This record gives sequence, structure tokens and C-alpha cells, in this order.
Amino acid sequence: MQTITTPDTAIKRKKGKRARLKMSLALLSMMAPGLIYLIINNYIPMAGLVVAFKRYDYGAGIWGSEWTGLSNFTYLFKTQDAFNIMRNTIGYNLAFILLGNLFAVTVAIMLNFLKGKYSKKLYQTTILIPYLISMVVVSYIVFGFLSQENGFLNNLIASLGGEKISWYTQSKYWPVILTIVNLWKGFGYSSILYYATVIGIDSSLYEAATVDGAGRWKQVWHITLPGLKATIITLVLLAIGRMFYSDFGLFYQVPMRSGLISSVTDTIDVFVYKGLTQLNDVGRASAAGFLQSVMGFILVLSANFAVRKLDKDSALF
Amino acid sequence: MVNKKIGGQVVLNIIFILLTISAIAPFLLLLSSSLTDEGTLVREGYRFIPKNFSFTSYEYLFQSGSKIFKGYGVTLLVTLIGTVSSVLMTLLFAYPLSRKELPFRFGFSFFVFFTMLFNGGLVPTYMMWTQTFHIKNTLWALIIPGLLMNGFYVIMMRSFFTSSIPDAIIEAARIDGCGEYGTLFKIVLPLSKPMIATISLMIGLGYWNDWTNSLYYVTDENLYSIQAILNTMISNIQFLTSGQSTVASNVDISKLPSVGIRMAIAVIGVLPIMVIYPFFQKYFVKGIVVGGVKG
Amino acid sequence: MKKQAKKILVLLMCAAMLLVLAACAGENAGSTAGSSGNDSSAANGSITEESGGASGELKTVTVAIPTSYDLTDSGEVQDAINAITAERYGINFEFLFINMGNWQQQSNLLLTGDEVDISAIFSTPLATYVKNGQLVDLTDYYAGASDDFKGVWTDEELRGTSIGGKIYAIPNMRNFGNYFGLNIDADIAAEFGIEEGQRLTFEDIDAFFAEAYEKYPDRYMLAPHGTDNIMGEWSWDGLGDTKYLGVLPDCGQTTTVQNLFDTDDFQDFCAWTRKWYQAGYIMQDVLSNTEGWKTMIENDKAISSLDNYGVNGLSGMIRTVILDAWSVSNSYSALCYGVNINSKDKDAAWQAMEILYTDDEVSVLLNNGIEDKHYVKNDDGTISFADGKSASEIGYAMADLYWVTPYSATSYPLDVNGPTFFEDLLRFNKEETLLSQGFGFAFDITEVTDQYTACSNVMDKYYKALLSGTVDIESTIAQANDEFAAAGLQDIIDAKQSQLDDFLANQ
Repeated sequence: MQTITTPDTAIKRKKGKRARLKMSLALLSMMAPGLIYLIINNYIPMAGLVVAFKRYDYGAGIWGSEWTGLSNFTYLFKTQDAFNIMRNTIGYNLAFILLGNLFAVTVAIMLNFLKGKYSKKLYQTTILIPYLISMVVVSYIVFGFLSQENGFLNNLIASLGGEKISWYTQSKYWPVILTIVNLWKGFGYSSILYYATVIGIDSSLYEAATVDGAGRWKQVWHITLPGLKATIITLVLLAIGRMFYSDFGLFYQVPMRSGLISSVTDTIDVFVYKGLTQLNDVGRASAAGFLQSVMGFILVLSANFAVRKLDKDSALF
Repeated sequence: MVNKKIGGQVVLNIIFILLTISAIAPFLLLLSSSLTDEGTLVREGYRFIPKNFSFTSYEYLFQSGSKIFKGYGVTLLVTLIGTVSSVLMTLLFAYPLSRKELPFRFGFSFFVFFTMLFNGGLVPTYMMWTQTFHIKNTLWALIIPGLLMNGFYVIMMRSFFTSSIPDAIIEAARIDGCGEYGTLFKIVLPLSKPMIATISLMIGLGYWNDWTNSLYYVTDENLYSIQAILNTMISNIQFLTSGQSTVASNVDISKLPSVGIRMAIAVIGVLPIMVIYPFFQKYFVKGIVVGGVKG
Repeated sequence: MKKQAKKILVLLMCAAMLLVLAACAGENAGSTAGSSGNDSSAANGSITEESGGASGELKTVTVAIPTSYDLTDSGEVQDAINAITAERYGINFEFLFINMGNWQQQSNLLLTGDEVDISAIFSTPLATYVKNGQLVDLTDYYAGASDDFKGVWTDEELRGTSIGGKIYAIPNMRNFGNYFGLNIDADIAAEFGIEEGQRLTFEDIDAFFAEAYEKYPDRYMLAPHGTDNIMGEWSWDGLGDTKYLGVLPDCGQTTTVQNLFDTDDFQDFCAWTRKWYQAGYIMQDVLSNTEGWKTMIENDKAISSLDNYGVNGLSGMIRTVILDAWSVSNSYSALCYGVNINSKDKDAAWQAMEILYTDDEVSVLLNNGIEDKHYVKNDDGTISFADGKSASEIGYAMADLYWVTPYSATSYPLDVNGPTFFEDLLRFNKEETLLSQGFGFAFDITEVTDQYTACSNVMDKYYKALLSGTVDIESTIAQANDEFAAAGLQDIIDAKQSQLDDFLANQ
């Protein structure tokens, strides 16, 4: 390899405008397939969002159906459950973002500190298993634990002399239950991304810190966490954009569709699904999605703006 | 000092063993119910150790022989082709995004990001893919819609490139006469193994677990993936017992696949991943070679 | 390392392709039926045969039918049918069997385009389909139909699948009314002296349970009919609305729409189930149960279950009667067949519709499968699945789903249903069933959609819990009614009442 002169002068001196153009074209050409795909898969269908403002008629299609203004949106607010579903959706998402990322980061860091190649591989593989089990099957498993007659928890409680609890009819337990299930299911998967980032942190930094006499905890605080900062911020910002969406399987299947606890387990998506099954109303369903997207968008723009003020490079864009 | 180190390792191991138990225990429950006979399951519920060992669930599955094998074949094929294509597309998109020289860089970033938040909805997307592109009931229907390139992975990869690949290396490559494609494939790629392994894993899992594309775009049974088969069975039973259609109460549910069988399908949907995953882990190799540049 | 990875990748891909190919080889490659020329003799009172003039072209009609079994041999059956219809009528059929669990999602998507010509109307009310503009108005087609076809259903029956006086669908063959009764394990029934077809009241049943519980305390007396619900419906007519927001109680023998929770029918029923739940006759986990009632009874986990039935048979158990056969207003439109508004060739679709109802040979193929491969004829005129297999093992099990296909009365009944099954069924429908006074009425939700979605959610909260006796009746109903009032239930009831009054006035 030649000796390297400072990059900027090298470029300015040797390349020049034509070379820069060539470079730009090359870069743009790389993006072509992706752009085409995004346009076809995402942007053109986005025009179909107008159906949120129309009364969709199958014969007339999207463009021939008549406009109805905002009437497709009212059903989301005219119910006294409106407050509940909002609160549930946002509340759970906040808890999931906070706890989920905390847990995943911790697990990733712990994995990194673990010595022993085989045990690392073993643990990594096993903690991914919950992610692979589909939510309906998870609901059967949860039932195995919470069933009133034979569930493990109730058997345990009974053997300790307590009274069996009817889990599926009491609302108060469910925020905790659903959060635990969500954490359990996702932590193995979320930790993968963090782990990949953690191991990318230059080990010479750790060596230098050890030489300087810094203990384990200090190293984590001063080296690992800053190294993860960008990733954490990106993931959190993206999650904020999805703040008004929820994991349908989690909120619809795991409570075994028990009506009595629905005031704490129903989110916007579940409400829309349940309300529209008999109506097949494409316009109303689209209206709900539209609202969720717009609100999430506003939220993430604000969050990104805030992050930009604090630390320009970490912002999403 | 030594004691502290060992002590630390012991604690870590204990924590992980606990986590592992919490992750595996439910899976064992699954496994054991798939190995129990129907009658016992109905009477006694779920147990960790099967009371009456029985392979009937698995016999049933592999007796309708071609269906499960076909399902596996489809899933494997789709996951392989899909993952490779998707990772490639993501790479090709994310790399330019990470270069400051890209014109309209901010615009393109936003372009990608916007797709993560706004969605035209199922009906317009469906019409696009079936009426304009006619992919219904083809293998492409399982690969292309929604999964071929996801803004999330693009952004992750872009962040990775900007923070972990020093500009100096890129410049060095350019000075050496490497075009952009060359730089990407010969220099940047080998340095990004952990990230690519990670993204491939996540995209692969996305394809493996997907059943919605089957639901929307496939009516030909020959093209059902394992997850689609499982999901169809379960939705059938849920629909028939939900009371949504009073006519459907005519269906005799006892003739439909039982709980044991559904558990068995769930198990066989999980096992291949567990086998392949350790293979991926060897790419999580420590350290990017930042030392490609001296000084 | 890279080489190794590439090798493994290639190997995996080859393995995958081999698997798919191997499995496909085992499948019969359904080739399209031999296309023969399309000249037909003059039509006279039979189905208008496609005398396509000069074209002689084969027309393909796609029919979507719900199913709950894996029909691996459907391609073969389709070929057999096409061998007949291509020559006789110039129509090529393509059958799309869609699993019931996926039906709603898939059929809605299919109807956005022209992929399907005839579709079953299922899982969502006919009124919704019509409101969404998904169906073709068949009134004129029907008026010009062959005599054979018009002879299948009476005009009165067709009112059941009409909306606003226009025919939008053709009814299919099944029991339109239902008896409501208790199915009891045969041995236990014998022990306690209960006979097949016996009439029982709730008091009788209560006494029976008390006796049986003493003897068999480890079994449940009453298994839930809908896995997580003791019973789906009883003596109230929802007027086409499966959420029962405003009903005609008393088997529809009144014309005043009421709030379900206020009716005696409902409250009495719940009072009984509440008593049984508290006595332990009903499982404590009934709301989260996932086992079917039949499985539970067969495995001695329960001894009886409530059920609704027509004239179909049942093995290992006896049936008793609590409510005599009656039918709800939307009995005919709950499952029927219509034509897609986006169909490429509506004339051909209509012709295909006629074929499905009037051609005996096609009917036998569609409903029973291929002789000797899927079924064998018995001496008494019934059929059994071939090779002693069960419905879930045989390659084509539509014989068990006689109530789904357009017209199964011209095919052979299954052994479990008996040789006179279809005759009994026809008689049951035409003579033995009490019709609700709202027969043929379809509720138009448009004016009250917002209240409807809100009230749907409230109903979902309480319906199953109350019916299964898991909660205290009075306080829960009071609470539910408060929520209903806030959600606008009265608006829905008023709208239903006024629409019903108009409908009845225009009879």
C-alpha cells in the first residue's frame, strides 16, 4: 500500500469534479433496486390511503368509491373505551420500550463478559427460543400456567395453602402478565442486535481501562454504554414511531379473548379488529391505520428533533 | 483478584442458567404435550413430563406426509432465497446512505424512514401485487411483499457503517482505484461480518416466521410454509369455536387436529432454527479490524 | 470459511428444492380437463347450454367454497367434474377451497378483483356483502333461469337471501332451523333412564345433573359447546346480527326488538348456568377452554353438552330436545352463494351456478368425491369413506360438509346420517321448523355504525361470561347495561325496530 496523504487534499488534487460525479452515479445506481422496490411496495399503495376517507365499494374500486370525509374516524372516539384503548396502547408500549431495551442491553453486556465459548453459544441459542414460538402457542403455554383448575401457579399457591386465583377474570394482574410475556418472548431476539454492537467495541479500549485501574462497572459505564449509545437511541426512536401500534397476537391471543379483562388488555389494533369483523369495512380499518401512522409520525419527529438538539449524530435523520 | 474474577463468572453463569430455564421451560411444556396422547391431554392438561408417552401427533403429521415435507421445502427455499436477496438489497441501499458524498442524502434517508411509519393498507398493497404484478400463488408472493427490504434493517446497517467503518479506509480504497462497488464488496463487507450476520439472522427469522404473506397471496396448498400450515389449523379451530358463524357450529371439532398436533407443528417449526443458529454465531467474531490504517 | 459457507448454502438450497420436487411428484398434476368442442343440442327446459355460436370456447368459472378439511384430492375431483361440464355446457370449473379460519380475510381480498366468479357468502352477513357492493343482483338472472333451477327453492325461501326485494344469493342445502337440546353420553343416559329424543326442561336437567354429579364427581356435567362458551345462542333471534345487539326473544315469535340482557329468555338461561357453575357442574376455566365438547365427552371428562342440530346423526351419544326446531331471520342468508361483482363473465358464472344446483352427476362428484377412491356405496343407500379412513384422513372429505356446498341433496348421505337423510332434511326445512317472524329481514348498520362498534365491544366483554354462569347475573347485567347506554345501544334498537316495521309492512 502506498503511503496515504491526507484524504481531503488527495481527493481534491487527484479526483476533481468528474470523478465525484462518477462516484455519485455509482452510489445512486446501487440504490436503484431498493428505490424501485420501495416505490412499488410502499409508496404506490400509499395512495390507497385515501380509502380512509371514502366509503369503499368493491365494485367501484378505490378510485370510484364516494368520499365520506372524516366519518370513518368517528368510531374510534365515540366509544367510552376510547380512553382505555389509548391508554393501554401507549402505556404498554412505554413499558415495553423501557424494560425491553434495559433487559436486552443488560443481557448483551453480560453475555459479552461471560467467558467460555460453548456456554456463550448455548445461552445465546436458548434465549432465542421464546421468539420462535408463535403467539397462539404461547397463549396455550400461558394457559398452562394460569389455568384456574390445573395451572402451575394455582397448584403452587394451593400447595402453599393459599386460595386459587381466577387469573383470566381479574383485570389487575394483566398489565404485569402481558409485560412479562412480552419481555420473555423478545429479550433473546433484541439482545442479538445489542450483542453484535457490543462485541464490535474495540477491545484495546478495555485493555487500556484495565491498565488504568478501572473496575468492571466503571468499564461498562464509560466504555460499553457509550459504545451502545447510537444503537440504543436508534432503536428507541424507531420504537417511538410505532407507539400507537401493538402486537396483535399478544393482546388478542394471550388473554384467551376473555371479555372480562378487556379493559386492560385491549389496544387500538384489537379494538379495531373486534369492532369490524362483522362489518368488513375497509374504509374504517384504513382510517384506524392512518391515524396510528400520523400520530406515530408526529411523535417520532418530535423525539428526533429533541435528540438532534442534544447530540446531532445520533438522530435518525 | 482472581477470586473476584471467578466469583463474577459464577454469578453470570447462574443468571444465565436461570434465564435459560425460563426460556426453555415453556418449550419443554410444548414438547411434552406433543408427545402425550390425546385422551391424557384432555383429562390432565399440560405437564412437563408426559404422563403417557405417545407419538401419535407426530405420526399424524408425517403421515399426511407430503404436506409437512412440502411445507419444510417451501419454508427453506423461501427463507434462503429471501434472506440472500434481502440482505443484498439492504446492503446496496444502506452503503450509499452512509456516505456523506451521496447527493440528496437526507432525502433518501427520509424516504426509507417514512415507509416504516406509513402503510397504504392491505387492500391497495394486495391489488398492486396481484393485479399489476400477478404474483399470486407463486413463490415470489412469499418472498417479495413486505419482506424484501425493510427500512428498519436499512437504517441499522447505515448506522453501523457510519459509526464503525472509518472514512480513512474508504478513502484509501478510492485512492487505490476501487470503484464504489469494489469498495463495498472487497473492503467494507469483510469488515462488517458481525453486522451482516446479525441482519441476515433477523431477516431470515422474518422469512421463517412469516405466515401473513401466505394468508393473503396463496390459495394453493402446495405453497404453504410450515408456519402457514400451523396458523391455518389454529385459525380454523378458533373461528369454528368463536361463534362468529352460527352455521359453522355444525363442524365437528373433534375431527380437526387436536392440541397435541398443533403443539407438534409448533415444535417442528422451531427445531430447524435451533439447529442453524449456532452456525451463525461463529460470525459474531470479536473486533472489527480497525487496524487497517496505521496512525 | 467463506468457501465453506458457500458450499453449505448451495447444499441447503439443493435439499430444499429436492424436498419440494419430491413432494410434488407425489401429487397428481391436475391437468386441465380435455377441452372438447362446445356444440350443444337445443336447450329445452334444461339448463341453457352454451351454444357459443361460432366461438365454441371453454369458459372458466372459479368457485370459492369454505372447508375445514385438507382436500388433497380436490384437483382430481375438479378434473372429473370438468370432464363432464366441459362437454355438456362448455364450462370449466376451478374450485377454490378455502379454510374457514382464513375465509374472511381471503374471500374479501379475492372479491376486490376478478379472481373468483362465484363465492360463498359466509362468516359475515349477506347484508354486509351487499352494502359493500360485492355481489351481483341476480333477480333478472333468476327470472330467466331454467325450470329445474327454479324448482329447487320456493320464492318464499328466496326471500331469505334477498335484500331490499332483490335476490343477491342462492340458498344452499342445509338445515335452516335447529333443535336446541342436550347431548348426553349414551352410557350415562342409559344409566339415568333418559331416552333419545326425550323432551327435557331445565328443571329436569338440573335434577339429572345433581344425581349424576353424586355418582361422577370427577367429571363435568356440562361441557361448553363453543369451547370457551357454554352455548352460542339459544331462543333469541339476532335479526342477522351475530352480536345480538337488539333481539327478538322467544324464538322470534314477537316483533318487538329488545335488549338481549333485559329479556327473560336470557336471564333465565343465565340463572341456570350460574347455578351449575357455582355447583361445579361446569368447569371453572370455561372461558379459556380450548377443548371441544365431543372430545371431552368421549374422553370421560364430561357427560353432556348443549347443542343445536337438525336431522344429522350422532354416534356414542343421545340427543334430547329442550327447544323445538326454530329458525332465525337470517337462517337462509348465513351461508349462501352469490356472484362476484368484479367477475369477468357474469353470464358464465350464472350458468355455472345453475349447473351446481341441477346437475346430479356434478353434485355427486362435488359432494362425495370419486367413487371407490373417496367413498364406497353401502347397501342401504348411504356411503362410507373408502378404505375405512376417517374424514381427516381421506383425500376428499366434502361428504362430511354437506351443509357447505351449494346443493348436496342430490348426492349420497354419509352412513352416520342414515339413508333418508336428505329427504328428512328437506322435510325438516319445509315443514317442521318454526320460522321467526322476522324471516328474511336484514339489518342495515349504516346509520348506527359507530354505536355498533362500540356496543360490539361491550357485548364481547359480557356475553360469554354471563351465558356461562361465571359471574353474578344481576350486578353484571346492571353494569353491562350502563355501558350499553353510554355506547348507544338504544339507537341501534330503535333503528332495528323501525327497519323491521318497514320490512314487515312491505311484505
